[in-house]
Amino acid sequence: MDKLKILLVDDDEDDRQFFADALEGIELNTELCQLENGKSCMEYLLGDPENTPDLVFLDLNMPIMNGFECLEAIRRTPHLKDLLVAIYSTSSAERDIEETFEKGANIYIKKPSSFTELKKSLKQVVKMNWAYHLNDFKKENFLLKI
Amino acid sequence: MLDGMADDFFKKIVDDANAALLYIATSVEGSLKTREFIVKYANHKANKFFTNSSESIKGLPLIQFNNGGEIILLANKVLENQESEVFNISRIEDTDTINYNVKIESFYDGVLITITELQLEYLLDKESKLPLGNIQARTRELEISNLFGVRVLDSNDSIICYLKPILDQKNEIKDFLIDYINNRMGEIANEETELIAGQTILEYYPKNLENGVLGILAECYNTGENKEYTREFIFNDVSIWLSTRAVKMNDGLVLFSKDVTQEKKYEAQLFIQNRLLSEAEHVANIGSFRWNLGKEEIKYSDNVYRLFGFEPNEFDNKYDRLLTFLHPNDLEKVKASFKEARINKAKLDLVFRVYTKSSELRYMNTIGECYQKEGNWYMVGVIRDVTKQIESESVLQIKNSELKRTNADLEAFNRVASHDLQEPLRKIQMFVSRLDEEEQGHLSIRSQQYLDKIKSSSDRMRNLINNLLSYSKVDEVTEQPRRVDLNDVLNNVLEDLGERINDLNATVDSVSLPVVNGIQFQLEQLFANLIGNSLKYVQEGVQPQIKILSSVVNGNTSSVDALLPNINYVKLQFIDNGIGFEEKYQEKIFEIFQRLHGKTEFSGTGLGLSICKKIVQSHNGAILAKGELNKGAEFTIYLPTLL
Repeated sequence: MDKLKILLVDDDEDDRQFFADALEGIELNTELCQLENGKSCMEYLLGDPENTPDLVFLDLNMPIMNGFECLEAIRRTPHLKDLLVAIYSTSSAERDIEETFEKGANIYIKKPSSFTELKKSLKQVVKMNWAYHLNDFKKENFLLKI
Repeated sequence: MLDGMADDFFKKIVDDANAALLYIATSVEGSLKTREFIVKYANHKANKFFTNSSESIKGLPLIQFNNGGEIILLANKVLENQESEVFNISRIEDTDTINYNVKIESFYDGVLITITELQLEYLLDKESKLPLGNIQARTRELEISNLFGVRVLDSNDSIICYLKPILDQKNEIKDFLIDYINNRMGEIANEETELIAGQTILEYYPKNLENGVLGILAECYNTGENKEYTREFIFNDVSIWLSTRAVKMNDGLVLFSKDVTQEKKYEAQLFIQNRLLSEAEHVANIGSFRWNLGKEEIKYSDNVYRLFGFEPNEFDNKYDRLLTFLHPNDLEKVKASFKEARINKAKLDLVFRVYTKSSELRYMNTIGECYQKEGNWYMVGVIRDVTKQIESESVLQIKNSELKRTNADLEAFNRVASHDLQEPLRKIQMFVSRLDEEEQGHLSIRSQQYLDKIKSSSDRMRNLINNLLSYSKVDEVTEQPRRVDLNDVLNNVLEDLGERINDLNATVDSVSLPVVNGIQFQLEQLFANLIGNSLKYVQEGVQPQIKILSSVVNGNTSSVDALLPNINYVKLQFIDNGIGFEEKYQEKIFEIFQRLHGKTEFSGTGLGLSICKKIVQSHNGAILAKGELNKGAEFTIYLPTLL
């Protein structure tokens, strides 16, 4: 099986590092690309169709173009409208979660405060992603809060 | 009109006159030209003039008597033109030719006819326009009837009496004899009229000396000037006020008295009411005014003057004077409002600043309404001193804006707490957990202890922040209350706490719980905090037991102050056998950040019960705590039942 291509969009350097280390730690066959905000994310995605990842992790609170705007832009783009998007944010506010699901997010992960938990969450999501691709799950069955 | 009024006295006066006096009035409202006249009153001479006998012609049509026709024609003319007519009539009586002078004049609703026999002097002086001789007598009689007529004819209820002076040796008046008095006096005093006449005024009413009546009457008699006075008389213990007019006539005085007792009573009532109003205005800091909008003067109540720091009537009541009190910045506004009121009769309601006599700045509120009476427009209204209200209002405004600032601060704090504080804390915890993982087994025992301390401290901090957030968010809930089954609430909470319950080998027993109106997640937080507390504050060596009871009570019968009467409440009791608390803390434990126990002994943020109280209050309920040290605690919650 090909490597699972994961795109992380987060302006926080520490969080990107945690994420990369955790992903490495779960020892699944993945390939990570990191970007700092929604704008660079859209430039990357629209630049080359080859760039389209299997899964996007999107922070909400970012400069230049935030996660909400980026999510809307992704869903407006025809070839990206079915892309799996996981929101990856510190916010646990119910209205943020609702809003991102309304705008087409598939998964909502609250940034954990323990490295072990982070690894656990990522493992879960990556495995689910495989299930999604293998079994052609319906997207609406895939709403997930972690 | 004269019916019922031809009392003896009046008759006596007019009968004594040298002229025939006749009062006639139209019997029916006929056409102007054919007015019929009925004799309403005729004196002795008049009877004789028309009938040649003393037979009374009263009540009969005038047309049927001698000269009746020509008098009627002229009487009609008089009524039409409202001008007197004078003419002469010659008659042959017992072979003698007698000339009469007849004067016809409009008198009240009818016509007064005075017929005087013309004497030789007159005939000799035909050039003269002035009637002579006995005409004077006629004139005096007319004067009498004019003088008295007003009262006699107008008022059925007048007391009329005729007094004759009694002189002492020095020829001074010492008393008056009641020569005549009509029945009215007897009616008023509830006495036999016959018994009054013949007495002197001092015999009849001795106080006439001290109340000054005798003096007034003596002066009237001596000077011939008319006198008027009003006195109170007590007849058979009943107070009667009489208003009297005294007129000198011949060798005596004629008195006309009117019973004005009712008027006096009203006057007294009015006086009391005015006093009350004045006092009420004083107490209420209100003044009233009445303003004829066509004029410049405004009529103020006494308190208006006082409101401006003056004595009643101390400043002139011109509109322009009022304007001089105004604060310069309010002058135009007030002028415009008053102008609007004067022109458009608009309602007035405005607040303005004035400087009182002592240059004190006060706020006044004026409310006025316009009304029309007899063709004039008036405004009546009140002026109130509203300085206190305005001042307290502005204090309230300041407090309000302070509160708004505080609320904004609180919101800012919430934002900081929910994001800005959490972020660095999460990083700390993240790094600690990575350090812990990577250095597993490599750290010295002491370093590992430090790391554990960092971990537990940051956990506590996270807990604290989360609790603070939920405390401040209780009021923020926008969700509408709905039916919540408390059994579901309890089950959810027990599921969350399952691990700890198992670890502690605790038991939780509950009766079946009711359904209430509420916010489910808040009620879950409430249950979780209460049960969590019971699981936290356990006694060593005692198996933790938690009992939950439920009943319904009425606000009327409950001794809990916070409950409203006539409302039924679900009463939930959470009873444990933990360490309890001293009774003196039963209020304090609900206060924010109150901790009864050292933090090393029992973990906690001091917010749990504050959150409980807030949740219960936002559900319109009440929460009470009862405890006994080392015996256990009992928390009672009252929530309104479903209607």
